[in-house]
Amino acid sequence: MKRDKNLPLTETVYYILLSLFEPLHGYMIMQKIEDMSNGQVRMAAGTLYGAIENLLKLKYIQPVFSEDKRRKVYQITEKGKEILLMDMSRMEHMITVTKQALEAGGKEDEKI
Amino acid sequence: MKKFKLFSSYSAEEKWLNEQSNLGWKLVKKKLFYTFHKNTQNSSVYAVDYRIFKNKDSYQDYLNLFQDSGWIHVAGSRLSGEQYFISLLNEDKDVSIFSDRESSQYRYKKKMINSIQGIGYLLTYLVVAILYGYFDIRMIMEPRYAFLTPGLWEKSGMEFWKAYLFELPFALIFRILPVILIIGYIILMVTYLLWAFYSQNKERKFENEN
Repeated sequence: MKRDKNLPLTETVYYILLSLFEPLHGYMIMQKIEDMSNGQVRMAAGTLYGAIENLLKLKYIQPVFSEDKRRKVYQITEKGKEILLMDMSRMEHMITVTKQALEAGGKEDEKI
Repeated sequence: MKKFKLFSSYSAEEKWLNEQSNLGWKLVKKKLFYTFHKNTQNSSVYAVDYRIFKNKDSYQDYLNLFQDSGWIHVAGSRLSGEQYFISLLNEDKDVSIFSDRESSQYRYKKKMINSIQGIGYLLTYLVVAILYGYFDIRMIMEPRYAFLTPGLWEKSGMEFWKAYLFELPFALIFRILPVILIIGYIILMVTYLLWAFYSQNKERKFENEN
């Protein structure tokens, strides 16, 4: 099967999509990502703004109604969920084969 | 204080603005000149972004995102392209509006794309205007083509000067000036394009070395 050309997702894109299972505006996305990644991923404003623009273009996220007229609110689309799940199985597969390799390697160590 | 200065890259510009801030000058406006006001506050960290906005709402949303994350917009407008911010986090000198290299580099690419678009629009307008006979392009080499009075150049003496001076303001304002403006604008856009291309390569090289 031919792989989607947008795979693999970058770490920041993956976290943005994941954070948008609930509707959020820009700054809330930044905070949630920092939370979810245990403070490992801290996105700066300019980088996040560009990433949002790009994800809108790809139709992975969409603007939704916002009470606050001065801040746009976004949510993930079906297409966005699809790519996120595809990337998740890609990573799951990597983890599986890594574990297998480690186990096989471990056994060989025992023989020696 | 007003200053005029050109920079080879956005990081060079940011560095200079930070130096001015250490000397007690705060940027308040950037058009052709940088306008500074005396500032007694602590020195601040500057960041330059490049972006043009389709409507007011998008611009407001953008400014709010920056403000929420600690960046105050000090100069630039919806269509100006360059947007100038100062950080409120004075203690952290490593703070940036970009958290990866690609988005920092993307400023130059956007400027290139916008310049190419601008050149495209202007050239299309110029070509259409020439085809519809609004501009006689020959007037670039020979300004007499900007005059439309029949038989003007066969006239002589007082009769010539009367007709010539009568039409001169119209020729200047409606025929020569628009062509100068359009060509000037195209030259400006080409300059922007070349600048962005040069700066992008320079900054990329610099980052690879570090």
